[in-house]
Amino acid sequence: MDMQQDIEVNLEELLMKYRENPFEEIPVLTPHTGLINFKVKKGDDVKGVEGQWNHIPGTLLFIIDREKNTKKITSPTKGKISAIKTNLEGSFIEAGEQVMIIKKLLEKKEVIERVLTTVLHPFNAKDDARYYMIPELTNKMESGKNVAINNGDEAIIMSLMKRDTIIKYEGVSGVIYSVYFGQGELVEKGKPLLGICPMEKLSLIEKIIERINLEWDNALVCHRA
Amino acid sequence: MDGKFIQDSHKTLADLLWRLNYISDVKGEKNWGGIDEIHKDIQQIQNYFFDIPDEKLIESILVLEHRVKLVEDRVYETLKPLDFVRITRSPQRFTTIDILENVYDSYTELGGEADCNVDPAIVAARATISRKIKGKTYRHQVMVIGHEKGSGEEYRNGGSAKPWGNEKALRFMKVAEREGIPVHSFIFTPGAFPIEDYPGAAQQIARNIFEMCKLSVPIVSFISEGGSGGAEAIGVSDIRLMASYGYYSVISPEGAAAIEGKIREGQKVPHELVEMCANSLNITADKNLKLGTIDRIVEEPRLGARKENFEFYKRLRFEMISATDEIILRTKNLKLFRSYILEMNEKREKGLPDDFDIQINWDLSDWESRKLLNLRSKKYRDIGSKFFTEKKGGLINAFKIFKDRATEGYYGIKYGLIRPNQRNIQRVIDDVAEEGSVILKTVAGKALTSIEKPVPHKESKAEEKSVFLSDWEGYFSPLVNEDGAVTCPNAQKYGCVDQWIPDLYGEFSGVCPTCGHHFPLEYHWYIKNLFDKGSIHEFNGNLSSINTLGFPGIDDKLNKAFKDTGLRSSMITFDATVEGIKVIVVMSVSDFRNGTVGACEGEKFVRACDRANVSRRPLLAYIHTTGGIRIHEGTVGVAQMPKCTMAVREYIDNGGLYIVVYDNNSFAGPVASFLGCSPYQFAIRSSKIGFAGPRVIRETTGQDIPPHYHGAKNALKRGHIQGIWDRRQFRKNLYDALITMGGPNLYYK
Repeated sequence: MDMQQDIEVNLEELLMKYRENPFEEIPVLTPHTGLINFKVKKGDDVKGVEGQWNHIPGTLLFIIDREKNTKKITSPTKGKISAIKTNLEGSFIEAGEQVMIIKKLLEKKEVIERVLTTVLHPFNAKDDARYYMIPELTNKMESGKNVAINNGDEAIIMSLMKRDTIIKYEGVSGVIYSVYFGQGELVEKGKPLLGICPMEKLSLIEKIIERINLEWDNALVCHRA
Repeated sequence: MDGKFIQDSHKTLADLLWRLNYISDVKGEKNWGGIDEIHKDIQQIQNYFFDIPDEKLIESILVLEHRVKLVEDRVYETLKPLDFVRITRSPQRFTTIDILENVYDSYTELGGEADCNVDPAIVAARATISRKIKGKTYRHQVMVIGHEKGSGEEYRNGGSAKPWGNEKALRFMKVAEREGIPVHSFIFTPGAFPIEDYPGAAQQIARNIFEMCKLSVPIVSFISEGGSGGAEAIGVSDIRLMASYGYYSVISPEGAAAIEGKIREGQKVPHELVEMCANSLNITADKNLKLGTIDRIVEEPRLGARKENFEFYKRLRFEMISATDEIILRTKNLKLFRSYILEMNEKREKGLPDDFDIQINWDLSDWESRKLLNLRSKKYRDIGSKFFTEKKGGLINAFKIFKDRATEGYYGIKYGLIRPNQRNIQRVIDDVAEEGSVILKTVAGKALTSIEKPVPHKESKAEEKSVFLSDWEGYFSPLVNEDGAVTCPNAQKYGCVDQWIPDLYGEFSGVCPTCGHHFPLEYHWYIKNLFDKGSIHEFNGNLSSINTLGFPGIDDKLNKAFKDTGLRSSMITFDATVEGIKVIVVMSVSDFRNGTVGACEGEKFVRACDRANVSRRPLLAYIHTTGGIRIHEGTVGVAQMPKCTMAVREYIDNGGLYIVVYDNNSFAGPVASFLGCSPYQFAIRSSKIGFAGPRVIRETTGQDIPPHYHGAKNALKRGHIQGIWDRRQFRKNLYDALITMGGPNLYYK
């Protein structure tokens, strides 16, 4: 019971942190050397990639010219330019230099995901490979019920070099709360495949999500104001 | 007030309101000439109808009728070409279904009805049409194909046929051919629906035109709204009629204005520019008659026929029957019939006759069908023949003409006299040899060696070449002289590194070494690297494009293109050899007016087909780029679609091998006709092929398109092309294609 209280306190702090500063700061780096010519200024609102197929590029941030080859760098996300090194305008810069920061307002979904990563136990990919959920688990999950998983249960099929290896789950027992990959998707080594929630924390997590769903929009309104 | 009086008065008032609405439709303004006031007065009378005394009511209605008529007079006096476009788009205008109901006696719709349909924008129906001769009725069976705009029926897409709609039209045209009944087609389309779903808008239109060129039954078409390629998909015909208030154009005036004014997507096109384009595009019936793109005008009542103009349907019936009669009679040699055609024309000018004098059977014998097709071929080959200039005279030209005639004579004898006999002899020898007679086989073997083999059974000479151009000792693009770097468009996806321009256009032939993306290269690269050294001999280079319609500003643009490119048109035609195989080549280049096709290019293509036909050589169309039909040539440009398809169809039917290779960008009219009809189409990697560009698709359908929608891969997936070639292996692939597709018929059947 004490442990649960601890987690609750931690989460309370975490939520507080996000509520106070619901932003993510995304640094924009130069892809290569060249002469830089800024197209935005501090405080400008920028758009991210849009369209059904992500085919509409975001707002033009700057143009970088190397060997008479001008390259347009567009905004990867929606947000506001919070910092920009306008003193570099027209000068030659190195690759990988941070030239501006885009302040992005976090969405409800993103906050939930971030909070969940702190609570859930991740089960990570063993290698760079294609991963499939074992059919039994898939069927169970499709039925919409919580699917329990214990240490040593067969969970994932790893497909590498034309060999399919069944991977057993290692970690705390609980419920599969999040699946971070699509069937047959390539996943890098070390990236999470599953997010496991211990049984006793389940109600707590649901409570947190409910709270974020209820409170987040109001919190944002305050920030926007 | 008696019941009939009330009914008549109500009807008159309602009719007046319809007429006012029609005026707003025609002029594109809600309150043109102050019609709002008349509108209000009519509504006031309608509201207080029973409170007004009879005499006063009659008087008021008469006054209102007079006022409406006065406005109509003013509309008529101030009619501009753009008003004709709005007339055809008015929901009150007659449509194909109205024609089926009122011109034909009975009909059965084929391929679905209303929204339960393969494509509701196209109506196909088996119908009967009748004529009276001295009080007796005679019926004819016809196949009616038409666009249905629908009056407020959204599912009809305003008469814009999707590829499967055009396929339906073609399917039932073939049914008509099988049954030997004439086809009557009615064109009410602003253009084809520009989607690239199977088999692609352009590909289906090309198939339609290709088949219609040699459909062995009479075809009469009638144009009310003729929107470019969409119209041609069902519009190839022996006699083409046009409604006097219709329009027939290469592009909508709004589209032309957006191109002319270089208006950005989403910005409003200035009204004046749209008016200017409508005036300059020669879209009206009388202008089209002068250009020779239609054969006759069907007179409509003043300001255009509406759904309830029954007198017009009577005229249309007369015109459709007499046009079909005329087509039939042209195939017959009887002088009597020819004089009958003249008589009908005289009658038409005097007024509409009630009866026909004679009954004409619409069946054709095989011989007559052949004549029909010959006449159709001649008709289309003649279209636009005066809209280019040809430099004649001079010793060199005279020598060229002499050389051409001599070549024609030589090949005529070689392939017309010697080759068939040689083939027959060989066939007999082969047959006999197969009987198994050893003696005869020996004799046959000797006989075979004594005569030249008709076909060069060549082993592939094309070697696997290095992908580095410096190993070829080939031509380098002048782009290599530019000092700088360039980024591959796929850099983000495949991590391609930036390329130094001299490397990219030199060693790598403009191909990204990481992902294989092909950067555009000038057409000279292909001329120098694709064909055997010194084998290229241009012909018809003396044909020159002109400003066909006198479009403002085009003379200067053409002169600039002449000066900048040294070309007289966007199409270069030449003889060449590929690894020793003689080919006739048609090359459409982007440098000259973006590879657009007009009367001059059409004529050059037709002459190249004929040259390939006479000399029995494969025909290669290499499309460096084509931006479509040249809009400044109006419907003369559109007519190049069936004209060129006719020529290439005859070449293919005679046994020719026609290969099309697309590069860079190939769009619109040419792809939807004489290029798209080839059975063997290929594309160079990274090229784009389609009907309409992304902007047109977005603006007409309101839907965005996925990336690479017009890519060669998509064209391959939907079966438009047969393969994608790497630029560096173009020569080898072409040689292999000529050998495999040509096989024993490489030169001729």
